Amino acid sequence: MNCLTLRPLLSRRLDDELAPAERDRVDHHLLGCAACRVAAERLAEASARFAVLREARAPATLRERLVRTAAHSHPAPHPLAIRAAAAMLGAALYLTAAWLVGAGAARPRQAVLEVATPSATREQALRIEHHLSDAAQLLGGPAHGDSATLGDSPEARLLAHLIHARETR
Amino acid sequence: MKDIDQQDLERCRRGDAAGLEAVFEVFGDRVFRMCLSLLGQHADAEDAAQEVLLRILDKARSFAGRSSFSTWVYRVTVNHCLNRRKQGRSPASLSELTEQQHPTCVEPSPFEASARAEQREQLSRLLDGMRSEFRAVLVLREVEGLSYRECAEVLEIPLGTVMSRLARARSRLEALLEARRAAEPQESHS
Repeated sequence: MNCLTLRPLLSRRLDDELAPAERDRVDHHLLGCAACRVAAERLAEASARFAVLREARAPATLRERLVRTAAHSHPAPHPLAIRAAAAMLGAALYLTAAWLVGAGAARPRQAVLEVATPSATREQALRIEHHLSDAAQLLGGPAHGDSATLGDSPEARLLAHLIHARETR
Repeated sequence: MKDIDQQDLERCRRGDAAGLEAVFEVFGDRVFRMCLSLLGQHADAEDAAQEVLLRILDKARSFAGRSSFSTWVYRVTVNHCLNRRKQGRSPASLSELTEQQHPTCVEPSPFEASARAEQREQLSRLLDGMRSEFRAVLVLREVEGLSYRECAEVLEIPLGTVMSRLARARSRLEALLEARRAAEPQESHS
């Protein structure tokens, strides 16, 4: 083993990643070669410089920032918002299904009425208006004013409930 | 390389506040240390570590398990930092890292603090003079203490490439140190 073939192995020797036989050969060479011994020492010295980074720890400010950012970007949904979203989806499905098959269903109707509660937010109320408008168009009647003009079908009764709920909100 | 246990992995995958706590507990120090070593500046490292930890939390649910979770975290961190450097968002300098800015270090004496700050500054300049792939493998090995096989998994390169790249990185570091030693007498005379 000469200096040229040994030098690349010094890095693996430093990391204790040499096979035992290979390590013996490298060590044997180092015993008789001052230049390679200096190279090995300098490699170890360079490695020791990284100790200042090994001791670094995440600052407490990072944890605080993380919690703040996560809360901002993924706010926990308010229970009312979940309820309202589910109810709106139910309402849309009900209105579509009711129009298509001409039949009412107690559960989705209840969901629609839940949306049109006085505690709904302005955004939710706007969405309800939108659904009402769509429903009225489907049924061929107005989404406001006299609900009696809508007739007596289950869909019309539902629409009348919605209009009433909106007006009393 | 210490990996995450099943319970903490499940917490991470939930993606909620408990998941965030688990991510920080298990990977906070490692991710920050990697970011600091690869980017140099303390403020950039903190920004990058925050981005990486949030990304881990976000992606943990879709983690496929083709490697260990820790390997994946290191890979995400390395790629994020190298991309950040490529975009020029982080000119490397560890000189900003003073003990005042880094209160989580063991409190040193004023003399030690000054010596450490000087060492970091020197290391920062040295690392900044290296190619990013050298810097990455050097940091994984020297700072994080990963085995060659683990480095290969994180960097997705063959084991032989890790060995040769690490040897070349150290050789480059040696050359930079030698150049600095040669310049020192001139600096002290000027």
